Amino acid sequence: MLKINHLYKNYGRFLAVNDLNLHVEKGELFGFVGANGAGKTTTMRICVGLLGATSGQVLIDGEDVLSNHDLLSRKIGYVPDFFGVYSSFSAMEYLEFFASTYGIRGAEAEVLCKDLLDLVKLSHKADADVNGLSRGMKQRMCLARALVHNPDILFLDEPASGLDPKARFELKEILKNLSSMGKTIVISSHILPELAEMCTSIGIIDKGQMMLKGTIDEIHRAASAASPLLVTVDDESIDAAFEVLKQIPVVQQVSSQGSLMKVVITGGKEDEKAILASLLQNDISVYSFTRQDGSLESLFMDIVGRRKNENVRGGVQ
Amino acid sequence: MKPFEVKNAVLRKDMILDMKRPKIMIIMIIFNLILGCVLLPVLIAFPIVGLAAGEISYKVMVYFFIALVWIECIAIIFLAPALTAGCISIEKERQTLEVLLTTSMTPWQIVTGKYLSAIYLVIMLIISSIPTLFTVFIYGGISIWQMLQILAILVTTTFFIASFGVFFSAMLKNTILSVILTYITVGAVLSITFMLAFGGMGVTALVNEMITDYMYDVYYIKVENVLCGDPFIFILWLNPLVTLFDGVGQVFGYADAGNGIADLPIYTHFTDKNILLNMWTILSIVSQGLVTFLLLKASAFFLKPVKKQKKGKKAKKTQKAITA
Repeated sequence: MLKINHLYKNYGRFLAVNDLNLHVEKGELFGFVGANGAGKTTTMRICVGLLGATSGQVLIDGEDVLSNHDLLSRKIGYVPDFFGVYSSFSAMEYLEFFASTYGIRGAEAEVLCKDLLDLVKLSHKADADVNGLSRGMKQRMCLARALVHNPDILFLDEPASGLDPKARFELKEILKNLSSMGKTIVISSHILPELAEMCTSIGIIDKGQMMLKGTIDEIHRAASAASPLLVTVDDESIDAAFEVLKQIPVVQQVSSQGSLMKVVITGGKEDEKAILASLLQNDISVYSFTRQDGSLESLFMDIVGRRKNENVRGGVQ
Repeated sequence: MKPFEVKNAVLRKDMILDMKRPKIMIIMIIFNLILGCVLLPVLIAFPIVGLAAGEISYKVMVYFFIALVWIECIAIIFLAPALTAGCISIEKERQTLEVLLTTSMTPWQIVTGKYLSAIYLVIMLIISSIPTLFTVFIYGGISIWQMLQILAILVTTTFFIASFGVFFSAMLKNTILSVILTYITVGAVLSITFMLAFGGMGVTALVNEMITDYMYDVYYIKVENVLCGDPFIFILWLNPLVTLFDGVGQVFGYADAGNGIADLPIYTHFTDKNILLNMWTILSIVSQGLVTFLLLKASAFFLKPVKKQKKGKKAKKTQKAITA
C-alpha cells in the first residue's frame, strides 16, 4: 500500500530525514513514534505533498505520488497537528466546503457530510459554529474533513495531543472503526504506549532514521528483550553469583536487593540460557530466573538514549 | 451545473463567509454616502443655477460625472489593497492554507479563487455605485454607452491594483506587512511611472539640446532632436490614473486640450496620428492585464509547496555531501 524508499530531507547541513524506509500494508493502523524533532512531521509533510524531499520515493499502490499532485490528493487524507478552521462556518458548512474542493457539491455533498458527521459522532453539532466546538470535537471534525474524498490512506499528525482521556478514547474508537473499514492509517505521536493501545504496527524514528519497526507483539517482545533479567539466588550464594556474572561478556550491569539480582544484558534467549547454565555449573542455587516485564517507554528511551551515546562517542573520536 | 453556480470552491466559500459578515455592507454604505454627499448638492443646485442664469449647461453634468468617476477611482486605489492584501496571508495565519493545498485544488485555483473573492468585493462597490452615477441621467448629457466605457476602465483598475495585494499576500505570512507593502508598491507604480516617463523624456530632451549645441559650436551643423525620448511615455501604460485620464478624454473630450494622451503637446517625434498613442486606453488595459496575469502566476508559484524535486545525480550528490 504505502512504501517509502530511501527518503532523505535536509535543511542546509541538517539532515531531518535520513534514508528512511517504510512499508505499510493496506488496512494497517501504523504508529509513527519519535521524540520531538525526530522527523515524524517532516516525513508526513513529504508524504502528503507539503514538502519536497531531497531524494527518495513515496509509493502508493506502486505509483510514485511525489510528482503527481492529482494522485496524491485523491489517495491521501491529512490531519495536521493544528485544526485550521474557519470561524462563522457551521460544522456542516465546513465539511461541505472541503467536499466542494474535490468537486462534490449539492445533494451529494449534503448526504456525504451528514454521513461523515455521523461517523465521527458529531451529527448533533452539524449546525454549531466550528470555532465553538471543543478540542476533541474539532479534532474529530478535522478527521471527517480528511475523509470527504474517501482517501485510501490517512496521515494524522499527533491527533491525540492535548485531548482529555474521554476525547482520546473516542478518537481511538473512530480510528479503529476506520481501520476495520479498510483504511490505512499512519498516525504520529511522541508517546509510544499511547499508540501501542490502538495501532497494529509501530515504527520508532529517531534523528530521521527508522530505528525499529514491527507489529505490536514484536515491539512488546523487543521491549521485554531490553528489560533486565531478574534472578533470585540463595542468600549465601550472592557473592559467588556476582563473581560468575562478572565473567560473562554479555552482562553489562549487576545489582542486588536481598537475594533478588537485576542483571542487565545485551543478548537474547541464547545468552539467557548460557547465563543460567553458568550459574548452575558454579553450584549457585537459582530459585527464579526471568525477564522483567518490558515497558514500551523504557524501550523507547533505550533506543533514543543509545543513539545519544553513540553520538557522544562519535563526537569524542 | 446550475446557472450562476460558482465552481471555484475557495471563491464560493469566501462569498458565503462575506455574506455572513457586515463588513461589505458597511463599506458599501460609507462609499455610497460619500458619493451621495457630493452628488446631492449638485443635483439641487443645478436647476436653481440654471433658472437664475436663464440657461442650463449640460456640459456641467459631464464634468460632474467625470468628478464622480475620479472619486471612485481614488476610492478603488485606496480600498483594493486593503481588501486584497490579506486574502491569502489570512489563510496562512489561521493555518487553513496547508489543508487547502492537500486537497485537489491547485495553487493556481486557490490564488484565482482568493483573487476573485477579493475583487468581487470591489466590483460590488462599483456596481452599488451605479444607481448613484445614474442620477446624472436626470439631466442628460451622458449616454449609457459612455458610462459603461468608463466603468470598464474602473473594473480594469480594480483587477490591476488587486493583483498587487494578492501577490504580497501569497509571498508573505504577515497580513499587516502585506498590506503595507501593497500600498507602498501601488503608490510607487502610480508615482514612479510618472517620474520614469517624464524623467526619461526630460533627460532625452536635455541630451538632444547638448548634441544640438555641440554640433553647432564645433561643426556649424544645425541638428535637432537626434534622440527620440517619446517612447518613455509608454511606461505610463502601467499607470491606471493615466488610463482613466485617456479613457475619459476619449469618451468625453477635454474641450481645448484634445482627447487624451495622443493630443498632449509633449512629443518631439510622435504625431497625433501615432497608433500606439491613439489606442492608449486599450493598450494600457492589455499591459495592466499582462502584469496582473504575471503577478497571479507568481502568487501561485509562492503557494506551490513543492517547488522542484532534485533528481538523479544532483540528489545523490546532495545526499553524499550531507551524509559525509
